[in-house]
Amino acid sequence: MKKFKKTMFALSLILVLSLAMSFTCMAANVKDLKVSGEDNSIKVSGSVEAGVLACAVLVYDSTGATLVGMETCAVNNNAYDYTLDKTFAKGNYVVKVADYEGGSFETANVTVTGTVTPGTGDAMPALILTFTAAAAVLATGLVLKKKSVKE
Amino acid sequence: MIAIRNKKKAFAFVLALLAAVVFILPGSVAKADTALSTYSINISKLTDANIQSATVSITFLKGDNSEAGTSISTINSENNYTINLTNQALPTDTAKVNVKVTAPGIDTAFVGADGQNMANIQQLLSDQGQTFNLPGSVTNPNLDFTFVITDGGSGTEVPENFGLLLHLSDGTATTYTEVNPYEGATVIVADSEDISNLEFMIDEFIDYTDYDNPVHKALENVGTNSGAEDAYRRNPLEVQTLSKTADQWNFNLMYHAKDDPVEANRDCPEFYVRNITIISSDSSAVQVAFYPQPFMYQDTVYSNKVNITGTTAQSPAQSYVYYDSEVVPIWAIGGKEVMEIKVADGFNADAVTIIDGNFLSFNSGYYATIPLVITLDDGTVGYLDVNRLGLSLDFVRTANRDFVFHGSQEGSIISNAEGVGAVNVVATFYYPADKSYSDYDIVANLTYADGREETKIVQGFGETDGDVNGDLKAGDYLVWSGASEDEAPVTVSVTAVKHGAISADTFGGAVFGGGAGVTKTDLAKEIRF
Repeated sequence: MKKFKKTMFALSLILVLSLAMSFTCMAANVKDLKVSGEDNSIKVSGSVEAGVLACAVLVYDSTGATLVGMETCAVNNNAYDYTLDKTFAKGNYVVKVADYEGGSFETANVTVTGTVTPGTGDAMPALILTFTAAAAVLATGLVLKKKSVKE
Repeated sequence: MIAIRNKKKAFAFVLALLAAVVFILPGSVAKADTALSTYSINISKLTDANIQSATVSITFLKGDNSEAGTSISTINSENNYTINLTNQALPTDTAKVNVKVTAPGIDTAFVGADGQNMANIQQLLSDQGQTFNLPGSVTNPNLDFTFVITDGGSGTEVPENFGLLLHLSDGTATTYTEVNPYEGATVIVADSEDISNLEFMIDEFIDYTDYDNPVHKALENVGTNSGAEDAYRRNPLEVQTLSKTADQWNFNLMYHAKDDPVEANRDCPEFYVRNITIISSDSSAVQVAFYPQPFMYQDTVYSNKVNITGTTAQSPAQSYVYYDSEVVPIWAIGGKEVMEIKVADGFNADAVTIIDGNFLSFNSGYYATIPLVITLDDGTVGYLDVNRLGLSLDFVRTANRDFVFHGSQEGSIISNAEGVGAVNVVATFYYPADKSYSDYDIVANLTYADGREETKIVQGFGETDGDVNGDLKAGDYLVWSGASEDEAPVTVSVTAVKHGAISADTFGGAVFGGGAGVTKTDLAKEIRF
């Protein structure tokens, strides 16, 4: 019985949360961005509006057209401070940061310094692959008719 | 000049000769293309046999019976299972396949099976397996091999509600009552302080169809250390241990009554109970429940009843849940109560909402692991990481298989992907069933052996059911393909984002994954089939 009550309470919570999530929330945004690029690393920091729990960090080439890196980072006390895992070759980049959930960008340019030069461990241009939509395939349970089995 | 007196007969003879060449000897006509498009090996059961967890070992043989390759599959369905082998999956020069089935608990007592296939069953279950020639004619593509595995069946239906009278080796006697065999929340508290050497006997099967008038079936010498052996020299009481420590034992229990050497036991229902937990009385554990359960979550690997005894902030216990569960209840088991759940010091407390002390709700897909501190009513303070699951990575060698693994289930057919290679890295993302793989993209960060790094945005190529109840779908994304494993990235990190999220003006939003993404290193070494 105790377990039944727990189960019913959990189900009620799910219903309440689902109703709450159906209302549109106001988007929160990144307020500012500072970026540095020593030792072939890109570090970003800045502040965010209340409600932003994480940020998305996008790095483009110097033209701002080709994506060369994307990672996400945590927010604590309405601030973020993150060094991307990726190694960046020396050169100029455009860095954009937005709310993980989506929103407008804060943008800044950075010059990366260090020993890694373009063409050695450099990032390849972002590649967008488009696939032909395929019919959905059921996972299991296919029973095919036997035609003949001969040794 | 040869005079042909009967032109009609001569013409008929020539036609007949041509027909013999074209129709009667198809192999010779089809020499230019002797390969079939698809072979399907289907294994299905006829009676109450549960063929789940049986292993199908396939050896591909050349014409001279030398080995061309192998593959092994684990049956993941209770009823039937199909292995599809396309031309691309067959090793070069394959002329025969040898099939061997290892099926614990399945004997050879046939009941009403098809005559031709019955002759194959015993051979399939033997150490040698059964060898079949592959037909070499294109006039009959998609020839299927159907093997039927049956067992005699106990003839006794398992009641929906039943109990087992257990006698533990530490002296604990307890009646475990199975109300819902699939809830998996069964907990037995033992007096023993060390569970790792615990054994138990089952003294009774209790039919609770009429709860007020239970029917007791006494069992003789049924237990983990009974010494009983069936015809295959196995204990008819099969225990599938999920985890076992000095504090806690999680296991599935299956009783093959018809195989029991004690004849009086054989009319007992052949029960199968999943996720039983025996916990020491001086130990503490919590159950982390969640719904839905994606195929990438396998309860033979992850247990949702986690022991927190002796855990620390540096060495927490681990639990696994679906990343997008609406709410995750966390309860103590073994008669204890949760007094407080909070996130660990230093972790962003806004990442989750803790409701009414027991329920966890996630506020961002970034936080893939939530470190918790749990206080129980007996003063126990335990540390528990809640790891969220939603993205998996597979390494697909098309010479071995033509599908992506979703846990132990078959996912999308990889040949549907444009640009598929001999070896492939595929990301699978689980999402609600009312969505499609086209609603999401995968951002992949790849690192190669030479230090080169690459970032790409990948769209999906297919999807299949993502859980057993139809609440989820699993979309597949071809992250990388190549000719050889040496070329493959050594580290793969993936993040799920909304389709088209990466644009010049605004960010459309990420869905699941933090940092560089869900990461796997040396995937080709981890996944061998």
